[in-house]
Amino acid sequence: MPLVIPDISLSIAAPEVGLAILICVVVVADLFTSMENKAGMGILSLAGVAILGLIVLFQWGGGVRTTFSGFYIADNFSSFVKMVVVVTTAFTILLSLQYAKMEKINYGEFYVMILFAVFGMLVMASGNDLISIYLGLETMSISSYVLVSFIRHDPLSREAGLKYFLMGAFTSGILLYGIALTYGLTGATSLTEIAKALSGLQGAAIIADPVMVFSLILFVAGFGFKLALVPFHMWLPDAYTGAPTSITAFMSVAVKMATLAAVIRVFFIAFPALAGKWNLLLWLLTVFTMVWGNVAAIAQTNLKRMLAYSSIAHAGYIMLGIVTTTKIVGGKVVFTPDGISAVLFYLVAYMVTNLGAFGMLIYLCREDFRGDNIEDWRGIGQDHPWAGMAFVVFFLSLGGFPPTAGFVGKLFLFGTAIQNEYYWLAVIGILASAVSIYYYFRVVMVMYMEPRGESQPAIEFSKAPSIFVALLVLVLATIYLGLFPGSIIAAAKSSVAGLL
Amino acid sequence: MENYLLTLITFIPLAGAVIVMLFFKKEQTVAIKSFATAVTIVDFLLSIPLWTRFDTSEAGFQFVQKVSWIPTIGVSYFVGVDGISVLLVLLTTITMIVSTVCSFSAIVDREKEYYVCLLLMSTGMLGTFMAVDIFLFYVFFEITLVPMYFLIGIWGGSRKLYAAIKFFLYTLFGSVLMLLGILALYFVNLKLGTGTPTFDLTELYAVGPKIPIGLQSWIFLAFFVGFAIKVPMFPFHTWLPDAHVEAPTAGSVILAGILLKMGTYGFVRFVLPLLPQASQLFVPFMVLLSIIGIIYGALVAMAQTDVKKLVAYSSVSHLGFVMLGVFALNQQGVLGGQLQMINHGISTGALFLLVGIIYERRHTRQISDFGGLSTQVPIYSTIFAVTMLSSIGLPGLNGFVGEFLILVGAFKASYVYAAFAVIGIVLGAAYMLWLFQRMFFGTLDNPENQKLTDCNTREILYLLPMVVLMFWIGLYPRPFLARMEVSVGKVVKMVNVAAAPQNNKAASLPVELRSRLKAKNF
Amino acid sequence: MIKLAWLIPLFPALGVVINGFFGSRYTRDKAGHIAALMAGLSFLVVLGIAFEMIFGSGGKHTIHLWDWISAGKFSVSVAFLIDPLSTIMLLVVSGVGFLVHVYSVGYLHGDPGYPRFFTYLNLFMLSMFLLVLGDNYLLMFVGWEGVGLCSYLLIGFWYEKQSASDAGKKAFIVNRIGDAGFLLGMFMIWVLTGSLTYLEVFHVAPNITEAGATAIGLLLFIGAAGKSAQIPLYVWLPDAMEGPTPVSALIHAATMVTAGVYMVARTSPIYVMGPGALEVIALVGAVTAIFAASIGLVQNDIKRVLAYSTVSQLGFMFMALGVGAFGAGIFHLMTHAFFKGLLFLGSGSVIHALHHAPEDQQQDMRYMGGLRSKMPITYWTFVIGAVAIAGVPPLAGFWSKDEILANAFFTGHHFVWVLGSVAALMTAFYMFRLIFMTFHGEMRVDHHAREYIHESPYSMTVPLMILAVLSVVGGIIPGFPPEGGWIHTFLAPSLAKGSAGGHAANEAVQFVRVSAKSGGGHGGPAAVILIILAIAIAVGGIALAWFMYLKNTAVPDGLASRFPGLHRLLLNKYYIDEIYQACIVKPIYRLMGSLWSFDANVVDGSVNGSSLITLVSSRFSGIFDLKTVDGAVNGVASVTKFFSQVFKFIQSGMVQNYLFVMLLGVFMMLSAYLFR
Repeated sequence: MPLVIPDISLSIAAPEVGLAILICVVVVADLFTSMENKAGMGILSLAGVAILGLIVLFQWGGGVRTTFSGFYIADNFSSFVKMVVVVTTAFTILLSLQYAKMEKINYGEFYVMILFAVFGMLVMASGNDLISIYLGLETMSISSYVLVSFIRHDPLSREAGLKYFLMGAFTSGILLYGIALTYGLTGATSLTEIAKALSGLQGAAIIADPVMVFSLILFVAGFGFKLALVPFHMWLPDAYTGAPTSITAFMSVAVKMATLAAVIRVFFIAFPALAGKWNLLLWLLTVFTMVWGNVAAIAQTNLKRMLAYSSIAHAGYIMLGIVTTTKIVGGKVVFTPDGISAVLFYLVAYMVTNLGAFGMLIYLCREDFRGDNIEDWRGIGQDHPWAGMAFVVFFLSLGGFPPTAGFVGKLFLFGTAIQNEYYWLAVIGILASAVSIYYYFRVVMVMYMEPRGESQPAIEFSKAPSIFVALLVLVLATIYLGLFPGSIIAAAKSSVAGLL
Repeated sequence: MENYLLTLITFIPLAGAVIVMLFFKKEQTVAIKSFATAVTIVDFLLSIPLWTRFDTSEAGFQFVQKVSWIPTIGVSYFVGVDGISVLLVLLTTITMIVSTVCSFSAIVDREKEYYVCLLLMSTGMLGTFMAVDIFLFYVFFEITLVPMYFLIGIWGGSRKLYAAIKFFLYTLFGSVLMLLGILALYFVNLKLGTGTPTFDLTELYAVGPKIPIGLQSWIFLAFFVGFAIKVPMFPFHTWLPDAHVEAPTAGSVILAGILLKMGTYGFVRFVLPLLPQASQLFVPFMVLLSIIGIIYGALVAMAQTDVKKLVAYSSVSHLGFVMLGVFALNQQGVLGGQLQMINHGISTGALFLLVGIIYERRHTRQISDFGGLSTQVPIYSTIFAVTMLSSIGLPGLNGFVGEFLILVGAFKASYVYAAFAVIGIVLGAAYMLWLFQRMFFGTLDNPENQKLTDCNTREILYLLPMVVLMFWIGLYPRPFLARMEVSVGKVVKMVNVAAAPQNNKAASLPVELRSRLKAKNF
Repeated sequence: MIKLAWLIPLFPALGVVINGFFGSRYTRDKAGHIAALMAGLSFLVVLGIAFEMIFGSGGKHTIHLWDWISAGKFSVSVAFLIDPLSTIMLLVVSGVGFLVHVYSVGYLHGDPGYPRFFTYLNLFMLSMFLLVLGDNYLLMFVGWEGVGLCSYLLIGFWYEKQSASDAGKKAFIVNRIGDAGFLLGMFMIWVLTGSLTYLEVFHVAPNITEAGATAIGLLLFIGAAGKSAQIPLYVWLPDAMEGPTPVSALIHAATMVTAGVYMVARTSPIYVMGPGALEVIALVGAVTAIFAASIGLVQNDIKRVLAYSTVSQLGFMFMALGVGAFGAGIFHLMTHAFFKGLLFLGSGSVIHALHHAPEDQQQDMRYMGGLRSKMPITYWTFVIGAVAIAGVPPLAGFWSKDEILANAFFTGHHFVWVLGSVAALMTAFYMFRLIFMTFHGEMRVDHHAREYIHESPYSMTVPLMILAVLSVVGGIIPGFPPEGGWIHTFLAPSLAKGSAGGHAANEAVQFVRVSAKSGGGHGGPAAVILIILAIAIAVGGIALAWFMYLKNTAVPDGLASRFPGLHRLLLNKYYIDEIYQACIVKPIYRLMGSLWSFDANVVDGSVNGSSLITLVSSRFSGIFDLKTVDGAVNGVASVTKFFSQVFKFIQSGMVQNYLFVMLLGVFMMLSAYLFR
C-alpha cells in the first residue's frame, strides 16, 4: 500500500498557522512577564488577533480551496465564520483586560486558553471532514472547560467548569459514536464522500437503514448539546453564570458560531439526502428552544442567568434559520441559501449585541460588587442616562426592535421562514420573541422606573478606557447594523453562494 | 427644499432630542422646556407648506423623497404624503406643540428625559405617517413604542409600571405578527410581481390584487392583529384604558390623538389597497367588531367613575366609528373615517387636556369628587362643553361631519350597519351628558372644589387651537375633505376594482335593498 | 330682500358672539336688550321677505352660501330655501321668538345667569332659523340638533337644581333617539334619490317606490316624534318645564317642538308616495292627542297642564299631516304658536307674581285662585288664549282645529276623528279648569306671598297683548273660509302635489287639492254639522269645567274617589316614566354594569390571564431547571468550598439528572421519527 503524502498548503491554512505562531509567542512571552504586567499578554494577544483578522480578511474571496487531503477547506463561508470568531475574540480580550485583573485571574494562561479555543474554532470553520471537525470541536471544548472554571477561588466557577466538562465529555462521546456509525455505513468521513455515498440507489438503501437514522439522531444530540438546544441546554445556565463574564460573552457568540459552521457543513454538505429527517428533528428542537428559553428567562432574577436563558432562546432563532433553509417541494429537497445567510447575519448582529450586553455587566462589575443581579441596576438609567441608554439599545436589539441589528437579523430569519412557508414556526418564533421583550424590559424598568434603594451601593462604573471603547463601538455597531446592514448582508450572501 | 421637507420635519425633533441630551443640564428646566417648545413650533411651521402647497388634485404621493437604503433587500428611504396622511402629519405637529406646552407645570421631575421622550415620540409618529416604504413604516411604527413606554412608565400614575409594560407588550404582539404579514407580502411580490425585491408601497399596490385569496386572508389577519390592537378594536382594547389612565396628560393626548390613528391609518394605507379581496371578504367581520366596539365602548364608558377612563372608553367607541367607515369601503365611509381620525384626535385630545388641567389642580379624577363646577370655573366648563359636544357629534362642530359621512357610507354599504351604529350616537350623548352633568351641574358642595381656579392663559392658549379646529372643521370642512378626497377615492377604487366574486353576497345586500326600494327607472 | 335671507340667522349669531364672549364681563344687564334687538332685527328681515313672498313673486328661492360637505357623489351645501312654507315658519319663529325675547328681559331680570340665558336664547334662534331655512335635510338636521342643544341648555338653565339638569339630559337623549331615526331616514333619502337638497329630492320623489317612501317616512317620523313629543318619545316634554317659563313658551310650545311637524310637511312629496307611513302618523297623532289631554285633565302644576296640552296639540298637528292635510297641520302649528305661546307666557306671568310663595307652591294651582282681580291683563289675555285653544269661533284655534277634524272625517279616518273630537273636548275642559282654579274662586295663595302679587311689567304684558290679538285674528284672517283660506293657496306650492292613487291618504291629498282649488270649503250639510259639533264640543268642555270647578266644586273630588284607580293612573301619567325607567333605563344601567365587569374580568382578564400563564410556566420551567441544575449550584455555593465535596455532590445525582434529560431528548427524537 503506497503511502500517499497529503497535499499540504500552509497558505490555505494561513489563519491557523498564524494563530499557532501567536500562541507560541504568547506562551513564551508569558514566561518573561511579571505578575503585574500580565495585562500585557492581553494586549499582545489583541495585536496578534488583529493580524489574524487581517489574514482572514485577506483570504476572503479566494475561492474554494481544499488542502490536507480534503480535511481542510477554505472558502468564503469559513472566512466569514472566522472573521466573526476573530472579532469576538478581540472584543473578549478588550473586555477582559481590566476585568481579569479585578477577578484575580490575570494570568497569561487566560489569554492562551482563549487563543487555543479560537484555534479549535478556526479548524471547525474549515473542517471538511468529520475527523477534522471533531478535532476542532474538542480543542475548542477543552479550552472552554478550563476557561469556564478559571475563577479558581469561586466555587461557582469551579463547579460550572466541572459540570461543563462532564457533560461535554459525554456529548463528545455521543458525537463520536455518530461519526463512527456513519463511517461504518458509508465508509467515509469526508463530508463530500458521505454525501456521495448517500446518493443514488445505494444511498437509498443506507438511508433506509435505521442505524443511519440513529446516527443522525446522535449528530443532532451532539451538536444540540454544544448549541444548548432544549432539552440539551441544562449545562448552559450554570456554565454561563459561573464563568468569568467575558468568557460567557465569548462562549455565547464564538462557540455558537463555530459549532453552527460545523452543523451547517455536516447537515447540508454531508446529509442533504436525509434533510427530510433531520429537518423534522431540528424543527422540534427549534420550537422547544425558542419557547423554553424565553419562558424560563422570565423567572430569573440574576441578570447573567437571564442572559444565559436568553442566549438559549437566540440559539432557537438561529436554528429556525437552519430549519427553514430546507424546503421540500414535491418530495424533493431544495435548499434556500438565504436561510443560511440569514443565520450568518444574525450571528453578526447577535455578536455585537450580546457582547455589548455582557460588556455592560463587566462595566458595572467591581471587586466587591459583581452587579449581576437585576436589582443591582436599580435607578441606573436615572443617574447614568448614557450607560442606561446603551443597555436599552442592547436590549432592544436582543428583543428584535428596529432600528437595531437584532431587528434586521430577525427580519431575515423570519423572512426565510415565511418565504419557505414555515408559517407556524414563524408565528411561534415571533411570539416567543415578543415575550422576550418582557424580561428585557423588566431590566429597563428597573433601571429607569425604580429608584435606587437606600442600602444599595452607589453606582460606580469601571473607569478602564478599554471597556468604555469596546462598549461604545458595540453600541454604535448595533445601531449601525440596524440602519445599514447592506454590506454584511452582501458578505453573508456571498459566503453562502459557494457552499450549497 | 421640497424634496427634503418631509425629512426635515421628521428628524428635526430627533435632532432636538439629541441636542437636549447633549447640551442641556438636568437643572436647566426652563431652558429645556423653551427649547423643546421651540423645536415643536419650528416643526409645525415647517409642516405648514404641506397644507398650503398640497396639490388637491393629485392622488399619489407628494413631497416625495426616495433614497436607496438597503439595496440588497430592496429597502429604500421613501417618504411622501398624500391625502390620507397629510392631515395626520399636520395633526401630529400641532398636537406635539400642545402636548409639550401642557406639560410645563404637570411634569416636575426628570424634565430633561421627559422632553427628550416627547421629541423622540414626535419623530416616530411623523415617520410612521410619511413612510411609503413598508419597511421604513414598520421601523417608525415600532420606534414609537419605546418613548411611549417611558412616558407612561416614568411619569405615569399609580399603576404605571403595569400599564406601561401592558401597552408595550400588547401592541408589540400585534405588530410582530404584522411583520410576518409584511414579509409574506414581500415574498409574494417576488413571486407574482416584478420579481425585484422591494418594500416600496407604490409597487406593492400593483401586486396586492393578484395574491390568491387564501394567502391574502392570512396576510389580512396578520395586519389585522397589528392594527386592530393599535386602533384598538374590540376585543383588543383593554390596554387602552390602562395606558390612558396611567399616562401623564401629554401621553394620553398623544396616545389618543396620534398613536391610535396609526392603526386606522394602517388599515386605509395598507390593508384596503394591498389586500382588496380579503378586505371585501372580511367586511362583515370587521363591521361586526366595529359595531360591537361602538356600542360596547359607549356602555362601558357609561359605567366608569374615573373621568379619564371614561374618555378612554369613549375612544373605543369613536374608533369603532372610524373602522366602520373604513370598512364601508366606499368614498363616503372612508373619507368620513379619515376625517373622523382627525376629529377624534382633536376632540379627545382636548378632553384629555381638560382632564389633565383639573387633575393638576385637584389630584383626583373621580367624577364623584366634582359637581357644580360650572359656576366656579366658567371658562373651563365652557371649553369642556364645546369639546364634549364636538365629541358627541353635534352639527356645526367637527365630530358631526365625520360621523355623518361614516354613517352615510355605512348605510350605503348596508342599512343594517347604519341602524346599529346610530345606537352608538344615542349612547354617546348619554354618557357624555351624564358626565357633564355630574361634573359641572348641581351644587358646588365639595369645599376642595371651591378653591379651584379657572384656566390660566397658558392653558387657554393651548386649548384654543383645538377649539378653533373644532369649529372650523364643523362649519367649513371643505379644505380638509378636499385634501383627502382624491387619495381616498383612489383607495376606494383599488379596493373595489378587485372585488372578489365570492364576496358578492356581502356586497349585494345593499344592492338588493336598493333595487327593492328604488325607482323603476331612476 | 329675499337675497338677504342670510341676514336672518346672522343677527342671532352676532348676539351669541357678543353675549357669549363678553356677557359676564361687559354686557351683563344689557345682554337682554342686545339679544332682543338681534331677534327684532331678524324679525324685520323676515317681515320684509314675507311681504315680498306674500304680495310679490312668491315661488321658491335658493340662496347658496358655501359648499359644506362633499364626498364622492355625496354633496351638501350651506344654502337657504325661501318658499311659502319656510316663510310661514319664519314668521312664526321670528315673531314669537322676538316677543319671548322681550318678555324675558323682564322675566329674568336679576338672575345671575342673565347673559348666559340670552346667549342660549339667541343660539336657539340661530338654530331654529337654520332648521327652517336650510335647503336640504342635512342643514335642517344641523338646526334640529342645534335646537336640541339649546333646549338642553335652557331646560338645565338652573343647573344647580338636580331635577333641572336631569330634565335637560333626558330631553337631549330622548331627542337623540329620534335623531337616530332622522339620520337613517336621511341616509335612505340619499341612497334612493341621490341628493339631500329638497328641490332635487322632490323632483325625483315621484319615482320612489311605495316601500321606499314608507320606510323613509317612518324613519323620519321617529325623528319627528322625538322632537315633537309624540308617543312614545313624548316623555321629555313635560319634564322640560323645569326650564324658565319663557323657554317653555318659545321652545317647548311655539317653535322647536313644531319642528317635527314642519319636517313632515316639508317631506310631504315623499310621504304621499308612502301612504302607510301617513296612516301611522295619523294614528300616533290621534292617540297622542287624547292620551296627553287625558293626563292634562288632572294635573295640578300649571305648567304641566300646558305641557301636556302642548303634547296633545302636537298630536292634532300630526293627525292633520297623517290624513294628508299638510296645510291644515301647518295652519294649526301657526295658530298654536300664538295661543300656546300666549298661555305659557301668561302662566309665566302668574308664576312671576307668585315669586314670593314657597318654592313648591309657585306653580301649583291648588295654591292659587282669585288672581283675576290682581292681574287683569294677564287674566284677560289668558282667557283669550284658552278660548282660542278650546276651539270657539272666531278665535284662532277653531279654524285650524276644525279643519283637522273635518279632514280626518272626510278622508275616512273616522276613528281618528273620534279620538280627535274627544281630545278637543278634554282640551276645552282642562283649559278652563286651569283658568277657574287659577284666576277664579277664593285666593289660596300663601299669606306671606299675597301682598307681593302684582301685575307684571309692560315688557311682559305687551307681548301677552300682542299674542292675544294674534290668537283672536290669527285664525280667521288666513283661514277663512274653512279649508279654502288664503293660507292653503299660499302654501300649496310647498306641499305635496301629485298622488299615486288608490289609497285613503292619497284621496286626502286629492281632496285638499280640490278644495284648495275651488277656493271654498267642501260645503254640504255634513260639513255644517261637523262645524256645529265642533263648536258644541268646545262649549261643552268649557261648561263642564265651569260646572265642576266653579259651580259645584265637590264634583272633582267625588269623581276622584269614585274612580280612584283611573284618577291615580291619570295623575301619575299612566306610569309611563316608571315603565320606561324599569324597562329601558334600568336594564341599560344593569347592562353597562355587567359589561364593565365583563370587560375588566373577561376581556382584560384573558389578557392578564395569558400573561399569568406565561409567568407561571416560567416559574415552572425555573423549578424544573432548578431541580436538575440550580440545586447543584445553590447547594455547592452554600454548603462547601471544597472541591472534593463538590465532586461528591455532583456524583450524588445531579449530573445523572442532566444526562437523563438528555437521553430523554434522544428518545424523544427517536420516537418522533418512528411514530410520526
